[in-house]
Amino acid sequence: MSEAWTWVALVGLGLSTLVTRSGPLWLERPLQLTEAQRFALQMAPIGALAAIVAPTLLMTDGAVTMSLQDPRLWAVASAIATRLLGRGLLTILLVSLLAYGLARLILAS
Amino acid sequence: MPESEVQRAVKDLSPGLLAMAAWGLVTGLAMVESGLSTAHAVGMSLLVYAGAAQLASLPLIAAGAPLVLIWMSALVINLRFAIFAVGQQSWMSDLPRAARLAHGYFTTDILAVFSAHRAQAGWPARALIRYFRTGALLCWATWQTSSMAGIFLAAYLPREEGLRVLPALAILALLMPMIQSRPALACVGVSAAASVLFRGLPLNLGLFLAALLGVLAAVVSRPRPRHAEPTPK
Repeated sequence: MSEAWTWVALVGLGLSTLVTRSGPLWLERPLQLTEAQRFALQMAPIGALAAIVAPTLLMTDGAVTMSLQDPRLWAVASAIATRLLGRGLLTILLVSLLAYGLARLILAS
Repeated sequence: MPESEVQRAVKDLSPGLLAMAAWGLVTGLAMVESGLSTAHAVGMSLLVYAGAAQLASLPLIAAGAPLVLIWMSALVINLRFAIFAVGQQSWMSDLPRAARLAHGYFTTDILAVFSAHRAQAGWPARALIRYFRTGALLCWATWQTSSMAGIFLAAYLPREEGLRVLPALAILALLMPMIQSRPALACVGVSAAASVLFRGLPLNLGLFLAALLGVLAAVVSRPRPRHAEPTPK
């Protein structure tokens, strides 16, 4: 990835912000969305984020790793546990980072 | 003297701005930890101005994924803003098109939720626009300041192997509170499983296939309301 390639990527990402936030405002008359369309649009970010993060956290070299030796598993488990306790995103992040760090320390020794 | 829209916006948004500042700091750190140069990280913050899409595209940029894939995944993640914009159409309709587009660009999650709330309370369009502008300025300043702080802070952190997981864990933390219903849980489960299964597909097409299957699972499993009601974020 070159310097220029990254800038092209970033400008395109900026356009994606503009298109989604302002696209419907281009129209002169209000759009009508059905309930199913609205629901699908709400779920799209959730589906995309899950699809992006799952392989990063669950796979090593193209295969699923489910080993207790893997600090990532501890991070994911503690994130889920923190969510179940009803905590918000910053707490979830801190707890999972901490779990990851601790697991690395302990498993390395 | 009655409270002005400006004061109301400051009051409404203040608690959310605190969380936004913390998140901006994390995003700033994550950008640098994923391998972006300081200039690229600053550029990303100013150009993209969308935390979730930024975090999600970091691993893709680091892997040198195809540009179309990077842009498409950001589009999908930003789709929620299109719903907000549809809601804003009614009270922004007096503005000329260029001004509407400029206003739309500065919509954030918390600002969208609060202005929709005020619009439902029957505020006139002019008041809503003043409210929105105040909120947009507050959100933008908060996000950019905290992002920059994170970017420059990252320079003083050790290049530690363990920190490379920060972008992924930040996405995970962002995702977790979004799971507020059974259909959302189905969406995450199906999408995560499918993305692992389709990992080997060329051009990372598995990502879109997985997201699509997840959304389908959610749509199929959703309870059908008698009349559509706005879901709080």
